[in-house]
Amino acid sequence: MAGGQSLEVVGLRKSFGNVQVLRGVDIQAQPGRILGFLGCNGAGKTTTMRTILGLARPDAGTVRYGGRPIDSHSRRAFGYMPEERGLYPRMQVLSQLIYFGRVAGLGRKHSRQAAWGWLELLGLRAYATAKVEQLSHGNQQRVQLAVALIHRPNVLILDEPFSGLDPVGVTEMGGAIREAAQQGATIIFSSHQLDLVESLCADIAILSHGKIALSGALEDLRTEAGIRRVEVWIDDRPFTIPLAGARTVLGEQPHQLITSQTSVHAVLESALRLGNVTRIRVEPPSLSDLFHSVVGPNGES
Amino acid sequence: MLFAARCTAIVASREILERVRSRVFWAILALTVVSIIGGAHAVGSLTSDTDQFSVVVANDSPSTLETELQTSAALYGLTLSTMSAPPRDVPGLLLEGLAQAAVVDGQDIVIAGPVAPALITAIADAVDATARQGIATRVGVAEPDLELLIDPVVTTVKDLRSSDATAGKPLPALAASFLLLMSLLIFGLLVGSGVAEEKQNRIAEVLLSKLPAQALLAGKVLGIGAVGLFQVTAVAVSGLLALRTAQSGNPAAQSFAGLDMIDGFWLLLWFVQGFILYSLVYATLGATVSRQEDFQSLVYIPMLIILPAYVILAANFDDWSSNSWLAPASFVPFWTPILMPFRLATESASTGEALLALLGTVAASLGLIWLGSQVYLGNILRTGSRVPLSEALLSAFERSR
Repeated sequence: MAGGQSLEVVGLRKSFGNVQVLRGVDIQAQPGRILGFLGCNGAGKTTTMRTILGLARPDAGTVRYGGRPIDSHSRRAFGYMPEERGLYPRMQVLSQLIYFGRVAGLGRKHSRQAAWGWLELLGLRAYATAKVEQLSHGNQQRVQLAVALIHRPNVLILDEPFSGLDPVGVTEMGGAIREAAQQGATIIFSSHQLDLVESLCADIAILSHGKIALSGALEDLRTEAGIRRVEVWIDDRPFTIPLAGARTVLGEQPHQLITSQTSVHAVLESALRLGNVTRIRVEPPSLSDLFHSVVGPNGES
Repeated sequence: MLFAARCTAIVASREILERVRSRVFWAILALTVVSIIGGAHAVGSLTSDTDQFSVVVANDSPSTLETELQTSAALYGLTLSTMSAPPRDVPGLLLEGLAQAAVVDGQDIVIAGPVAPALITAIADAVDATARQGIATRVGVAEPDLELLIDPVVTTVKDLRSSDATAGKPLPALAASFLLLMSLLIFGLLVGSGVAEEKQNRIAEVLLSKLPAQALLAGKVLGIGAVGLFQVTAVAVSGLLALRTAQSGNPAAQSFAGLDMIDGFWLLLWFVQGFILYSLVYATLGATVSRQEDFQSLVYIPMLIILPAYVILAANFDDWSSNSWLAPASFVPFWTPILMPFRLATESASTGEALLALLGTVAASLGLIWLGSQVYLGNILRTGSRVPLSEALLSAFERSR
């Protein structure tokens, strides 16, 4: 991986018939960092990714790598993992990897070496001569990742790479993606698993109504969001306390979002008035909080 | 250009390797070849009645020749009946089919059209033996000693129908055109369904993010085409061998045997060009569907395009000189691979005309590669129901603007 180059999407617009899917999308992905690309179903994430890869022609806007518009040659150094499987079902795993390596520009010998390397790394060596259709879903996903990584791409575009993976698979794949970033690749991946995105990504971009509604370094966005996350437990049970301007978020971990102006002291006072406070946590918002604050409770698809 | 050629070669090599690695591929090929050779031999043995021949011995030949003919025929496993006739009646007897061969003037063999080589050899041996007996009697030398003293008698073979030799030539052209049809039904479908499979499985997305669509289509057509050509060649060679070994007296076998290198080159060229052209039609159609199952509903389209060529061919097979449709139709690129080989075989087209028609098919193939790739790219994101052909073509033209 050469690394060292940023990927810029500038003013991307795309319509399908009368439906305007992208209305001026701007994204900047930095080398060595993973950008989480978020949005509700139908928001236009896949269309944006396919446009970056030259699979869809934008109505307006450009995609640049290292400051230059992307052409078919520079795109060959990109790695891509589509949302659905992009493998030949009846082709052997090793042959498949060698083929995609060659498609990406590797020589025959180099491609074979790289294929064996990725099979080893992703624990697939035993399946080298198996056909893809004989593998489990998780192993097929691993092969798909190996296809995307075989030529050690400068840019890695991953569309829902974790969908359908078990926790072990998620950990392995997350490790491989992190390693690619450490080696300098520019990585964009979309996912609906916000906790995973939060644990992996340094940057995020949230697509809403055909535009990027929020983007930047995740830590900066959390501290600059103007909201804080509050969890209050009274008698060892989560509790909602009456606070002016607070929004309650239900779910596995019920909590409230308060404005940054609301003091921690005021939160504690209100909680104490309700009973025996056994736990209180006030912290910057999670990615999930940021996402929901941007797209609203019902999304926009 | 070099980049596109390299990409095409990579795609083509995958198509070839994936097929030749399959045991089913070799099993089907072996079965086909064995069936052709075995079938031809079976037919040959069933029709062994054709080993019974009538030979006219002109009455200007030695009287012992008829006996020698029976002896020689028995050695070759042939059943022979002989008849004696004046030399002037020989052509009539042969042309009317009352006899398969005649011996005139004691050493000249006369035939009317193709006959089994074994019969010619048997007659030649009998002529030789009769001549030796005559010489031995005249000079008073024992016949075995004569073997060392004189060379075998040279017999000439005259074919009364040799001026009609070109009449059999359209047969290989016809066979090649039907082989093309069969190949399209098998391998053209493979190209189309392969394109549909790649689209259905999202492989096309991964590939098209790195390869030009033209290279992907061309590689697929060339790879599957090369495998198809190999199989067709194996079938054709085994068919020719079977014809030669099992039914060598068959006129069809004679017309195939009469093919020279140039005939063979032209037939191969038309076959390859026809295959490329129609495979690209299949590939373009495959790009309009999202599922392989949907592709099945489109396979009739290439057949509809090719059918008129066979209709014209059938209408002109007996008399190719009078129909004014044949010549212009042979320049329609989609019909050229069927009609031009026939015109060349019947010597009703010049080499210049053939080259012009070839140029047309090459141009049409290049146009189809462009159209197919535009349809491919224009519909790569479309899933669900099949894209109507008119809509796919419209989007291709819009995309190219």
